[in-house]
Amino acid sequence: MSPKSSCLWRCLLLGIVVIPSLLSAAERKTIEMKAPLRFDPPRFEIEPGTKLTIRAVNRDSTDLPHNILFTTPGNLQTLVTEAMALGERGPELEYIPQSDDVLAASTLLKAGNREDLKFTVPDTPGIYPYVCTFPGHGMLMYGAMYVGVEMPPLEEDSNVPDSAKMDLDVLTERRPSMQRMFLPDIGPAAIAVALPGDQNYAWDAGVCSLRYIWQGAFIDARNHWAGNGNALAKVLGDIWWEAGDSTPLQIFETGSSTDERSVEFHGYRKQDEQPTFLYSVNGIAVEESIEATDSGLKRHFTLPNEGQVTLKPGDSAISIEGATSEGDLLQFTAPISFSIEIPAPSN
Amino acid sequence: MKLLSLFTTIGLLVGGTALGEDYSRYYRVTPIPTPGDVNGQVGGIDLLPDGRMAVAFHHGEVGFIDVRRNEWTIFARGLHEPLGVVALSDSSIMVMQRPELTKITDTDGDGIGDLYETITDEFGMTGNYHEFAFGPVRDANGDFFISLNVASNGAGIREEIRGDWLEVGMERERFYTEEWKDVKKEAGRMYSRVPWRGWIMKVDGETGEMTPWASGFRSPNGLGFDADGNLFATDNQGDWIGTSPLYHVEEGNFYGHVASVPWMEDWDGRDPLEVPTAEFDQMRTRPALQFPQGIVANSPTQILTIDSDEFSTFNGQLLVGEMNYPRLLRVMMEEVAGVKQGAVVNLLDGGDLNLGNHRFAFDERGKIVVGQTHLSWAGGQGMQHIDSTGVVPPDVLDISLTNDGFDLTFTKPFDVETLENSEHYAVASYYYEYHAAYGSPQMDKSESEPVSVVASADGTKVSLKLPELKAGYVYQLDLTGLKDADGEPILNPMVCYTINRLRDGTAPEPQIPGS
Repeated sequence: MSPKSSCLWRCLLLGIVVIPSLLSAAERKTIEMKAPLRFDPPRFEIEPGTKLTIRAVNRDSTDLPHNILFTTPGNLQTLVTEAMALGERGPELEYIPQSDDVLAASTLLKAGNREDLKFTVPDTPGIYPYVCTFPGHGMLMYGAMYVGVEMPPLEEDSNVPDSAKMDLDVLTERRPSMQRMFLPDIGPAAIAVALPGDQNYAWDAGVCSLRYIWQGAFIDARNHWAGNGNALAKVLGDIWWEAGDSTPLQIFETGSSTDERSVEFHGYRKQDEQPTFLYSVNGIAVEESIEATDSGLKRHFTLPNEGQVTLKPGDSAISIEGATSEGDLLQFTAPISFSIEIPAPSN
Repeated sequence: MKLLSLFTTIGLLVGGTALGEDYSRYYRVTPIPTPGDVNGQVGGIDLLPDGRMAVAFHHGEVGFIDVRRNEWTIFARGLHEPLGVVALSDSSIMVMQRPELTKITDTDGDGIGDLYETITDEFGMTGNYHEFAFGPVRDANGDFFISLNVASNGAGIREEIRGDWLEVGMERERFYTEEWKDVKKEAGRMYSRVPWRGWIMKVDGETGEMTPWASGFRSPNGLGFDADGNLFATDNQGDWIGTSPLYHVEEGNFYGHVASVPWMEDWDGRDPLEVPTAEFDQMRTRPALQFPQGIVANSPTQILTIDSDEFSTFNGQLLVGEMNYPRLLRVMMEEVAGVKQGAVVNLLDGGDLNLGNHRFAFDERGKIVVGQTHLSWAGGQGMQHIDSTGVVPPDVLDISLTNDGFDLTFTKPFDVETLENSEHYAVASYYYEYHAAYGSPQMDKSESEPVSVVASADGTKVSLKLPELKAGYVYQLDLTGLKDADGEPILNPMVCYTINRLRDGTAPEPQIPGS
């Protein structure tokens, strides 16, 4: 072969070697660390041999520090255990074990910080775990890099934690029942009550009053309970009555000042999972229970203690036995009981 | 349950490989099944007079369990995140939940609570998720103590709040009108804008009247009394808290986290975020003990005085729980120059014990009943029994600061030759800085070995003389290599002592930025 043609062959061979590596894919992926103790995304697919840059971003709203470590198939628990065993050397090693099974690892990132990891995805297909090895996190905070392997449906994927899937707690509904809970459009000391049947109401222990009524299913508190408590429970069903701006039950000792409504919540008696609320308005003890009727809801009030009481009905239609009217006020003698009907809208 | 078995597996792996300790020689850990339809995260446990245990759960149930028959009755339902329970009688309990301290009584004798009395709800709530409420614990007079978490700027506040809004700090409307990420820094990393958040409060056992007791807390999850009736609280590493502390809580003291300061009666109205750190450093009472982060504990929980035939070796000392590691801690306190200080060591670490050890109590036979939780942090769930095999573990029983080192007492005679080898005492010392930022690294860390080691002839005591002792530092002793007279290795080799005072009364220098 002439020198010129062997040089040509060498160039061709070089090209065959060089060009494929230039064509080998380079990819960037962002993985966020989030509350509660999870990676987003918790899994992804990638081709073997890819030059991968992972941008790890700590977006944990509860301010926890996290790292991320990629390891080889089957070694998730081993690496987590080895990291725990670092003990007092943990902090200086960023909680990353010195192991040949670590493909890539970040430092420990404070909330808000980020770091890029650059590594080449192995050529061997398989499911490569990634995990945060900060003490205590690894049991819950891990994910899976599917290398040259197709991901199964999320619900069937045993390589990601429960936090990655739809909430597995089945929404169970107990009726009748009551649950103190963060609810929408009410103060923080809220009580949700599911009546027998399909009516529900939200009662505010902070202002001692009924706030709204809905028909249908009760509440869904799963996000509140599964998360850090930031999420409000969802009110299921249709709200058909709201106290809105109308004044709650206003009573005071006859002859005393009318504008204040100073309340104190005393708790409730419970029977068959239904409450009789116990509270005081302007020092006057009140007991309130709410029942569902054929036409809506009925609020039953009892003022158990003796006294001369004035009530400001506001928008409510109240009739109280033996009461006298004084302008827009009702005056009567306690102890006494009375009710307020709240008719449901006719369909 | 998949999660539970994963925790147990990890626990077994950790227990089996960690430093070769064999806890199963000394302790047995067995599961206690929780009711099937109840989320198994535990917020409170106490022993009823009739021998049943009252257990509060994450979704708001309180169950009574007969632990011998493993029978559950659901006594109460519908509470909002109960994080503590005290049994008053066989038919009444006191529970702390997010919105209030509640007494629940079975008045009609059917075994189920029917009267839920609000003992006190006189503290504020903004609806911020981090405003947990902890306790109650009851003192010898029958009064209760509760503690209130501050809010976190991981979130804002609700439209409707309970309690008077504090005008000191970022204006309330900005919480609602601006992008949260733009204002969260100005709100303060943790904040206290409604009454008593960040405080420990006393509640009169007769009247229910609530009075402020002490301030400067962040997430005071654990409350408990020592054998002498002194109140202690654990808190969590975070802003202003370099590493998780154990506080000796006394009336009127301020413990360091600044958000709660404006509720003090005589506060001059300044925004705590603008007050120099040195001023708060002068005001604060330092922790009685510090739990080194990442090594001993990341999130300590309940405090309980050990009083049990099963664990009688350690009677009078404190049991403290921990969330992130599968362990229970033991605290040995003493008083030096009038100030409480002491050391923490593992009681039990790994083996079958789950993570997330949140609440515990001694059952009527003196076994530990522990309940686990995780909420949205690292931990576990469910309940376990811990009892002793009857074999006394080879451990440090007690530790005392001397003029120039430490005296250690052991639970049984140790091998004198291993005791006299100074290489078996690796000493590291460091301090945690007091500053606004989240957590502190170990500062000024140095390592040393004892200058001299003198063991008693019977192997039950050793006196260590160290080259230097510094007030305000944690002394981490690694006693790996010590063996008891039967050749068994020391069960828990790491002991961390927090020096608040030297024997001559020397107090710590300020440990703030720039010092």
